[in-house]
Amino acid sequence: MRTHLLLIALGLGLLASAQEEEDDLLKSLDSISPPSKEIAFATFKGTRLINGHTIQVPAKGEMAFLISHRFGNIRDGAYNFFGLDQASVRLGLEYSTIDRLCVGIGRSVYQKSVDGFLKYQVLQQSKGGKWTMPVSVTLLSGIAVNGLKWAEPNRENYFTSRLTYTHQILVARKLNADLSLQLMPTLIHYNLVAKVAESNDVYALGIGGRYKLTRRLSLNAEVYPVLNRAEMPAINGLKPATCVAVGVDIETGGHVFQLHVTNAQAMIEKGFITESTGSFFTGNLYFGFNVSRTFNLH
Amino acid sequence: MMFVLLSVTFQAEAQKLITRTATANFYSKAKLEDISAANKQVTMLINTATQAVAVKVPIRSFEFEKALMEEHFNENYLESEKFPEATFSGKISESTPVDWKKDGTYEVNVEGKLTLHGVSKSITEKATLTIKGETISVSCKFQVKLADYGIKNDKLENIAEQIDIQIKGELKPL
Repeated sequence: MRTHLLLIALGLGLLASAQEEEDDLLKSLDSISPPSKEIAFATFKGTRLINGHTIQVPAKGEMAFLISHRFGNIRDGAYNFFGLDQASVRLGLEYSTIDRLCVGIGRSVYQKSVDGFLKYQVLQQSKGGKWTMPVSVTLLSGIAVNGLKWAEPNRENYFTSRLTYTHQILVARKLNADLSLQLMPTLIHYNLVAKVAESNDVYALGIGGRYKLTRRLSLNAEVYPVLNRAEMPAINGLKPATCVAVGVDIETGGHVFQLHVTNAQAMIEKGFITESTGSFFTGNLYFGFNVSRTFNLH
Repeated sequence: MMFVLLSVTFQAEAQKLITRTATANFYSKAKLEDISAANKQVTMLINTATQAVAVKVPIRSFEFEKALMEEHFNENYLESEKFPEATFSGKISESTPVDWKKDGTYEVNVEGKLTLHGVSKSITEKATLTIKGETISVSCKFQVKLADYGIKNDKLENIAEQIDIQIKGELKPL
């Protein structure tokens, strides 16, 4: 009897060890090849969150063509088909020759502006490597040229007066597969302002994020509060409103469609951050969309 | 008794062969475009004493021709943030024995559990083992039906319902 029990116990033990062995083998694989460094991918689906930039740059050798529209003010009512009778457009090209460095140009209906920028991804969020990088950081420097005819042509006008500069430090973290958040400290510099009391420099701290609702649809929002509101340049004698935007990203293969409502009609930083005239919360809304198409140039 | 057990484990330990640089390739043949990707960071282990086989494929290490394909693969299909690796653990079937001490090519059946996209399934696939001295070359071609592993496919993109996978490696003693 005793020997039988012993045999049964031994038999059970062998069975169990056979099953365990397969799992042990996988575990020993883990110790042989520990997880390698993983860089966070697709923190955002495009190079724009809504109006503003994200930390994303096109992959090396890729060019993105951006067509962005903002329709008229929804408050214009049925006569203007709630703004859809009027449209403001920006056409843009963005290209990364070197990994992580992107060059972009654009032309907007807004103030007949031409804009250009350099965008460099300094840090990439990663885990599992020698050290963990909790955030991705991208630097952006841009320039916008106001192309409107001089308001006072008889005066001596300088080309430099048309220029506005934008500098941003974009800091983002993909918290999980669905949620990404971004901070956008921004400096906008006007070469020329109308009054002595107005500051040439406007500081803003943008906050934005996206939340994936399904695998092809995400909800996006961004807000760009200005930190030195008291001295920022006035538009038609009024202090500009804070830029607020809410929208969705819809992804279909090589395209990303972004549909949104925002209180800004401009699609360049100095326009939407510092020159939005009506408040989002009193219904000064513009319906808009961005479409981007990526081309592989290699 | 204990001595026997100890010596068995000791022997088994000495008969593990591994590689960290095996490759996994996959091919999707669909109407609009053919998609392929290669992964050079596959680890594979064979225990010649027990015929056990283990394979680990880090999903993020698949390299595609286009960055956007890689993003879609990781984000929309394999969901590699939730399921960072695919694994196989099993053994060489007793119906196809291998003489580990003798050089030659062996056609074997490998049976076990494939875990992909968080879903485990029992599979049996054919593999070719080539033994030359202390090195064992492994080659295995098989097909995976995406739906079996809960990988969502849709009509927007052109990915085959069935993916061809090829795994190759040269294993050396640990």
